[in-house]
Amino acid sequence: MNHSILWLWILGAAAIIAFIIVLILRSLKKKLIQTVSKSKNGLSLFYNSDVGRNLNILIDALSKDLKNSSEVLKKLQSDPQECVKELTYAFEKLPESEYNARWFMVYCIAQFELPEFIRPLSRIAMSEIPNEMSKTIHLFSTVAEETAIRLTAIDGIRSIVQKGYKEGEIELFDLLKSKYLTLNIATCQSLIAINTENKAKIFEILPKEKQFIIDIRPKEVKDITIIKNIQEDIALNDKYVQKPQEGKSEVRKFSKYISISKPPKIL
Amino acid sequence: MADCNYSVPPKDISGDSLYGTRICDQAFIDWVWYSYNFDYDYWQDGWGYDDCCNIDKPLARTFNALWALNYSSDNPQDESYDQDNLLYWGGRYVREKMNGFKLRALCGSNNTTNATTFGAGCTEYRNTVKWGCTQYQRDGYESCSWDCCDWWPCSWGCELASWICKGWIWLTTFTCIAYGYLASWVCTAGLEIGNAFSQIKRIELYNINFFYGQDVVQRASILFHECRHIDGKAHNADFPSWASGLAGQSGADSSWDYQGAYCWQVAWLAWYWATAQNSSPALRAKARVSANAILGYAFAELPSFTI
Repeated sequence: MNHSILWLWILGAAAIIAFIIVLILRSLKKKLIQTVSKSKNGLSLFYNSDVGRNLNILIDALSKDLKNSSEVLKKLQSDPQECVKELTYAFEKLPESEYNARWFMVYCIAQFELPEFIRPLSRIAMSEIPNEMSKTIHLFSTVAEETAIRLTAIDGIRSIVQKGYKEGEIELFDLLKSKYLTLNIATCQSLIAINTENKAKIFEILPKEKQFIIDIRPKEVKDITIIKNIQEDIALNDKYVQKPQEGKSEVRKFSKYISISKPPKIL
Repeated sequence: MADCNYSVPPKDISGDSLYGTRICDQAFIDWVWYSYNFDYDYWQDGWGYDDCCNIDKPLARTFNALWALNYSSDNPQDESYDQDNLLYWGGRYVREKMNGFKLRALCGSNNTTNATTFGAGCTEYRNTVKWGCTQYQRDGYESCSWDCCDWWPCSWGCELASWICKGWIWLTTFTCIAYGYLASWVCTAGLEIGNAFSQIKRIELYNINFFYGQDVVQRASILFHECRHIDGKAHNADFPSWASGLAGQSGADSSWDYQGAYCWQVAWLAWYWATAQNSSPALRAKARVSANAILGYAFAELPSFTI
């Protein structure tokens, strides 16, 4: 009898403790879940001028692969000075942390393939890369973002030179003196793509410890080696759900104001 | 008051406008939510659960990345691993590796973090040990292959010593790999017990950077990168001297041959650049320079090529 009462007491105490633990876990979980809100809208990039409006159309066309991009570009190419002004101003106005937008400005500049754009591109490619801002390097490096911007500027100069504006070549040779190895490699490849005979001059300019980069060549994507040692997840087969056919079900028009759909509530 | 805030950068530039029109499809939403283990509680309160087509919000921007991951090949229904083109099976790979892992959105401790995977440590440890053991084996075999004298009996004795040396290297390598497996099994058992009490296995995506600092393609490649960690590939080296500002910090991959997370991420970006459907020239160009930037800093041994 005493034993059974004791067991009842133990069970009761265990139930209370378990209940308290669940409560603590739930409140902890609630604490872990965070809320987020929108603080402000992004900035507008260009002046409300003809060129500014057309540049906005160009951005829209380039980012969505619209057919009118070459038409808009042609229109803008008739006033290169104003475009240089607008695009470089937008590039400089953007906060340093807007890496994507800054990259896109350089990409836009590169699309013009006009000699007026050599200097701005060269200035961007030559500019000092700010110190690393990322505290946890894993997956995100501000230096890498800045490098991507400069790599696009180098690509831009190359395509201008390939259009026949040789003055850009001088800028590229100058860029070989950059202290950043990745930029040296891209410059080197651009100069060789322009003219293979540039190799000798590149060799002369590059410091001895960097001369090996001449052999670093762009690879065809099919030649990139990936060793697929993938274990197919058998357990997943039980919960396999067929991927919906793209565009088969009705794609509703996107609206930023009205929420149309909601995910299923699976906990 | 919210725990964190965001401002929305130009959506055309990030590719969100382009992809945003495609995600707002109930069949896709149901499928992606289920298949990628979105953790319900963590997508409420401003993260976008109630407004999942709104590309201003984190959830829709994550959907965009997953759409890019799943529908960028020329035949999205073919997800065979036999394909060399990673765009065919990238979405499936992420889905399979995330099995058991929850996907969460959080504020993050600073503005420059993208994502972190928790609970991949055991397989990562096993593969790191295995990689270390095979490197030891390669170096060991090399050190056991010395120039022998060519006169008998010295040549015989030398050969014999070389074979004994190699045998010893083989035995110690085998023990080393077996230890890695055993340790990872014990670790996995502990992890699963722990996971039953609290969700250890998870991928956390952070505001601001993942959702607003990266374009759609980068976001997709980050998810692919994270799943390579779940596959057991930890970063195993320090950043090299030419990685300005990062040199000497841990978190890089030793070489391309290591086939780590950066290697696979670069390969995915390269295939995206070369073959992506339903994309734009700008996003594809960005994928290429992003891949080249990674090649330029994330490998302790500089790869001998670019994209």
